[in-house]
Amino acid sequence: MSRPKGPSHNKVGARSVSAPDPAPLDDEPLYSGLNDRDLAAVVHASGHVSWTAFPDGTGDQLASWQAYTGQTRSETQRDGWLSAIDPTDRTRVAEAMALAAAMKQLCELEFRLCRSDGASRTVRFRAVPKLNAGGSVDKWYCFCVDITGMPDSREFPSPPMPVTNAGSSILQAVLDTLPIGLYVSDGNGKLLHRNAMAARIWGEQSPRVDVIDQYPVYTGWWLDSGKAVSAREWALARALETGESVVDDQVSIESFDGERKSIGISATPIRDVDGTIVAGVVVIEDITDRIRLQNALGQTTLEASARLSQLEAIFEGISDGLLVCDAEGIALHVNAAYRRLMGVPDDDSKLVRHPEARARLFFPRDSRGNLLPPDRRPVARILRGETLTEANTSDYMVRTADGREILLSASGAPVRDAHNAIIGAVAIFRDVTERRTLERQTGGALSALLTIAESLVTQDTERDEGDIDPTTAGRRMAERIAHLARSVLGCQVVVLATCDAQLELTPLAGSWNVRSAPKDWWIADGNRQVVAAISEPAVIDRLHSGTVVALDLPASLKDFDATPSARRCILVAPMRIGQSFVGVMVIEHGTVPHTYSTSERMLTGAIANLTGLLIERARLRREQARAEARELALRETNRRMNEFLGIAGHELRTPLTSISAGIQLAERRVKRALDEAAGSGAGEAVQITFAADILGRVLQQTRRLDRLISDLLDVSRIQADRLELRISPRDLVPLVKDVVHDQRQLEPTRVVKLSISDAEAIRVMADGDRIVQVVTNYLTNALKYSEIDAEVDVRVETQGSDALVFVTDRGPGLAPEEMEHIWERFYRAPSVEVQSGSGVGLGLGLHISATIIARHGGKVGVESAKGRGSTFWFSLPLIP
Amino acid sequence: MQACVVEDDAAIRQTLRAILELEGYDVLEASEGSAALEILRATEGPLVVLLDLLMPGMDGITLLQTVAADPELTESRAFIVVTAAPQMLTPPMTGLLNSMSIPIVVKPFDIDVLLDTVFRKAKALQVPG
Repeated sequence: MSRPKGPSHNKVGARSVSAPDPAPLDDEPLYSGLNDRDLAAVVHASGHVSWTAFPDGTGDQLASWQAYTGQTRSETQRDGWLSAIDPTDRTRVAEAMALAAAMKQLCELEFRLCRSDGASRTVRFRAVPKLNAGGSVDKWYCFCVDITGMPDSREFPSPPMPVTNAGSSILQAVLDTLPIGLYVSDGNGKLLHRNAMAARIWGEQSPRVDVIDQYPVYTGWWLDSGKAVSAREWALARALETGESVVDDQVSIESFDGERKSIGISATPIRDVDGTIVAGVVVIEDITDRIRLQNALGQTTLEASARLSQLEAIFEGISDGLLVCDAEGIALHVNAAYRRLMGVPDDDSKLVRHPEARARLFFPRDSRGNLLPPDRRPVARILRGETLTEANTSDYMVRTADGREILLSASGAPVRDAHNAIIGAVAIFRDVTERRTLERQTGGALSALLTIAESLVTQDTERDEGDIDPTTAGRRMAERIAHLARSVLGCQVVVLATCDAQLELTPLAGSWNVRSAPKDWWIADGNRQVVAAISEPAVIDRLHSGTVVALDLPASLKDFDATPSARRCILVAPMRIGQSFVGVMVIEHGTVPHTYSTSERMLTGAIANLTGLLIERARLRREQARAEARELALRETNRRMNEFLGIAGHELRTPLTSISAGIQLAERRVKRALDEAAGSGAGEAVQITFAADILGRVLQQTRRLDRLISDLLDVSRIQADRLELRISPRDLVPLVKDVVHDQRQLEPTRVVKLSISDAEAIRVMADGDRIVQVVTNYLTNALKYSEIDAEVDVRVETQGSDALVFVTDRGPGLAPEEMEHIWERFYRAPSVEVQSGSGVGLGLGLHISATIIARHGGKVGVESAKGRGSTFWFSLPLIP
Repeated sequence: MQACVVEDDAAIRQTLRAILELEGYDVLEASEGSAALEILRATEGPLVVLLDLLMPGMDGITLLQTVAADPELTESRAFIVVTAAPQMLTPPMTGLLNSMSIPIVVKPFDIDVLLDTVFRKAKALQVPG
């Protein structure tokens, strides 16, 4: 910013249309035209320091560094420059530079730098290595920018365009890249130049001002008092007037974009060699966020720190690693568990203070081994406002300070102040290395079990595709399970064996690692040895109770590739169906010493159980196939039986029909002949009457024969369970009336009394023909087993939800033991003689009646006593 | 009035013929379904057909199915099924009989019951329309 020389080479004018013309510069090196004081003023004001350094630490082009820090050239050499850095940041910076040097990589970090006036300023530092043809570092280009109070300036602004011109355009470009606003004025306060950030803060429309009196076009209020800033109060005016630097005025402004902002303003007068003030430099920065944060924090920070110290004791006691940090991610506190977890020495918490230091130390990687980008690190995520739980956070790998590789699970939440602004983070870290390993194993086991379960389905498909024999299918499935189990468990032998009551093991399927344990050997000797071992009462008891048993047997066989002292490590899991023990699953690790873990035992047990179920299922399938065959055969038999009964009935009745019809025809003819003979001789009439009588008796016999055929066919149907009912809603009254009427017709001499309690219909669900058959059976029995002049009563009534029919005779009655057996097939009461009519019957009628009523959901019964007659009854459920 | 007895058992056929002739019927005979079909086609005037179900050759149900499909064969014809095995009638068969208003007389039959049925059917045929 020296005296104007030559024409403007402004190449960024297009970006600052309304800005004052920049101060033109000649082609001198950047700072060469300035005396030390001016240089210091510019560097202080801009907060921009740059230099170069050789790999051995020797600095070069150190003018701006010296101007900013106040160090002499010699003080900067070797590691001397580090002494300008805040002591707490020094080690970190040194480490970072050492790492960058080793890696030949860009080094970028923030630290606090001590300015020459004693102020501690936070700067962002960037060192870029220049490599020579051999690939080693020739030189470092170093750059610092003061970012104090700029919480969000995470990135360096990138240069707006490639810088090709030297001189003023370089300066303009440099100035435009600065993250602070910059104005340059002449000695009278006329604004000559502003940079891009200044335009951004005040607005692109901010006007050129020629004299201090015009300053009030810029509107501002003092932050502390709220009073408007007058023309002469602006920092630049005061600096030019007093010749002293003005540092950090805080003003609230309304920009020309209409935005309210808080800005910090510093101004410095610039003098020529004679000491005359020839220019002024104004630095402004947008401190809106900082002010807002300060306001927000105020009281809260104090409270928080008190709370923190209270909590500290608690934190120390927590078994999970705990890190409390501020809004910048700087660790305020880590607990003992964290130090243990991360391998950090108790006296060296500084190592983990800065987020970048932590990242370098722990090298956090995702599951694929890629470094976690800074914004994916847990603390960064929490500081952005996320609450991390195990559910929304992936585990990540770290290398602890003492060199262990561990899998960490992080959770945590942001710490907020009363206004809900994030002022820090609490992060909890847990070593999940072991747990995840277990989970993976369990996952593998579960998927194996699933695969086995799937074989259920596959097995069905195979069977449906024509593998008719379920035994073969079951065996193949067992083979598959054995192979699966061996691959999951990583063992040498898996044998599935069924077990009978004598504990004889029959290998059903097996999977062998042929080299270490040949199948033949296992079946011959290995099996015997295992059987002997599990026959021990203690072992068998445990297997019966479902326990998986580990056996340690001497390996005695040459085939088994064993030394004499070798042991067989065997796990035996019972296969049980319900409480019964149906077989075992044996797994063997050969002679390689092996201790079975809990998860191996559980998995083996689970597979054995599942296999038991599958074997049972195969057995049930076989049973089902047999049952289906039986059912088919039964159905066929029934069909044939039904057909046979139909044909038998037809064939038996056909001759009976012609006999019966013939007799009836003869009877008719005889009756007609009798009518014709009425007028003729009495002897002829007597002869004809005699013939008619015989015909009548023969006809009675054919009717009896017909009943017997019916009974035989019915009982055959009952026995074959083929008694078919044709159920429909019926009125019981006319059915009973018809039977009584028919019997009165057939035996007109007998007295049959009918009493019906209800005048209305008695509705039942019934096969009318079958109910008629039952009533007929009761009534004919009553008539048959009582004296010819004894009357028979038939009574129909309802009781509750039942309809009842009673048939009472005055016959000899039944003894109690006879009543017990009266409903049985072929039973005939020995003491009861037929009293009237003829024939003894087959003892089927009551059996058939009882069956018919039972099929209707009704009941039958008899009340009787010797010498006092009998009452047979049945009930049918009324239609509700 | 004409009647036709379709029955494979000769003894029953002849007895039925005698019973019906005694009541004044002109009786035709067939021992199985296809012969009966011939008679149904060849005979003019009202005809009561007594039909057995189980017969060699065309059985009674097949005959009825054929008749049901041909309106000419049902014209002035009445059928009575006379069977010894009513249990063997399946629900579709019962349905067919009901739809054609065919009564069933079970063997061995009571002549009075049988003749009542025949008279009733014959009377229905004689009522014009």
